[in-house]
Amino acid sequence: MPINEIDLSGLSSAVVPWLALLLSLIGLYSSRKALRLSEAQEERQKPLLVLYQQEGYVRYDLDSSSRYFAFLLSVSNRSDADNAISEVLLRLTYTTSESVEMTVKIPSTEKTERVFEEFNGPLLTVPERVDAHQTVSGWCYFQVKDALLDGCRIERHSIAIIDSHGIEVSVEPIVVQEFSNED
Amino acid sequence: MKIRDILKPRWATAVSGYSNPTPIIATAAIASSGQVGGRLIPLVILDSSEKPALDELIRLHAFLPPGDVRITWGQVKELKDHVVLHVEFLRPMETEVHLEFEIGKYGGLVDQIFSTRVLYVMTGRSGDRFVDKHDDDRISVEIPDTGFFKVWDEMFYKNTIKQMRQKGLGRQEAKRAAREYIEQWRNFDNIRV
Repeated sequence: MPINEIDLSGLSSAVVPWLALLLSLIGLYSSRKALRLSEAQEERQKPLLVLYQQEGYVRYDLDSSSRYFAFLLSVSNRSDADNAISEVLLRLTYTTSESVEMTVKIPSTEKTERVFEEFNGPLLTVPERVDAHQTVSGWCYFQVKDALLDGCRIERHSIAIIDSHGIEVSVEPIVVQEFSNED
Repeated sequence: MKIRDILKPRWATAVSGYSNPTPIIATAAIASSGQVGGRLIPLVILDSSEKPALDELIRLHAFLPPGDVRITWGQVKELKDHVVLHVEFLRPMETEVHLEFEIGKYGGLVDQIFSTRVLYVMTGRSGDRFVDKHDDDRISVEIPDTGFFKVWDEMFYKNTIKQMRQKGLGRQEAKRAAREYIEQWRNFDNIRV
C-alpha cells in the first residue's frame, strides 16, 4: 500500500492509547518519587535530639549534708526543625532498706559555687535552644540530700532531657566519678 | 485478678485495664490557716502494704520540689454507685493509685475533693486512724475537675435521693431533701479557719 494511502486515523487510534499509557506510567513514577521525597522531608522535620554524656562527677558535702552531681552533656539536634531543651533530669535508681527498687527523678539545679568551684565550663541552662543541625554543650548540676538516700543503695544513674515537644531522651548507664581536691 | 473496664463519660477520659483499687483505710478533713485559704481539705489514708512505692513517694516529697500528677475521673461499668479517681504520679517518682469511692459511703468526701481541688494522701495499715497518725507525713495532690463534675453532680444527687427514699421519704420529698442536703453540705464546705 503506498504511504499516502496509509490510514493515519487508524494508525493514530492504535498508537495514541499506548502513548497515553506510557505518559501516565511516567507520571506515576514521578509522583511516587515526589511522594517519597516529601515523606523523607517530613521525617526530617520530626524532633530528634541526641544526648551524649562526656563527664560525670559526684562530690559529697558535709556542710549541706548533700551529694552534688555534675555532668558535662552535649545535645545534638539532628532534625531540620529547631528545638529546645525544657528540662534536664537525673534518674536515680536505688534499693531501699526493705529491698524494694525505686527510681526518683531529680531536677537540675543551679551551680553551687562552693561545691564545684573548680568547674569553669559553660553551664547548660534550661530552657536551652538547640537549632536545627546544631549542638549545645554544658554542665548540669544536681543536689541530692543524704537523707533522701538514707539506708538505700544506689543501683544506677541516668540523665534524661525533655524537649519542648515533651519527648524524652536519656543516656544510661553512666559512670560517675567521685570528685575531690588533690592536695 | 479481674481487670475492670471503666466507662468513658462524655467529659472524662476513659481508662481501662486496672486491677484492684488501692484500699482506703480511713478518711478525714483537715484545715490549716494559710493552706488553701484555710478550707477543710479532704484526706485519705491508703493501705500501702501492697504498694511500698507510695510510702517512698511521700518520704521523697520532704527532700524534693513539688511533683507532677495526671488525674483521671471516671465510672465503673460493673459498679453503678461508684466513682473512680485514678492518680498517676509522674514526678518525683512514677507510681499510681486507683481509688474507687462508693458514693453512699464517700459521697461527701468526693464532693469535697471537687470543691477544694486538693486531696491529702497518707499511708498506713489496716486499722489505722487519723487521730493516731496526724503527725505523720502526707502529701497534697491537686485534683482538677477534668470536666467530670457535671457527671458527679448528677450521680451525687441521684444517690442522695435514693438514700432519702430508703429512709422512708416519698419521691418528691426525697428530691427536695436531697437538694437541701447537698446545698447544706456545700455550705459547710466553705468554712474557713
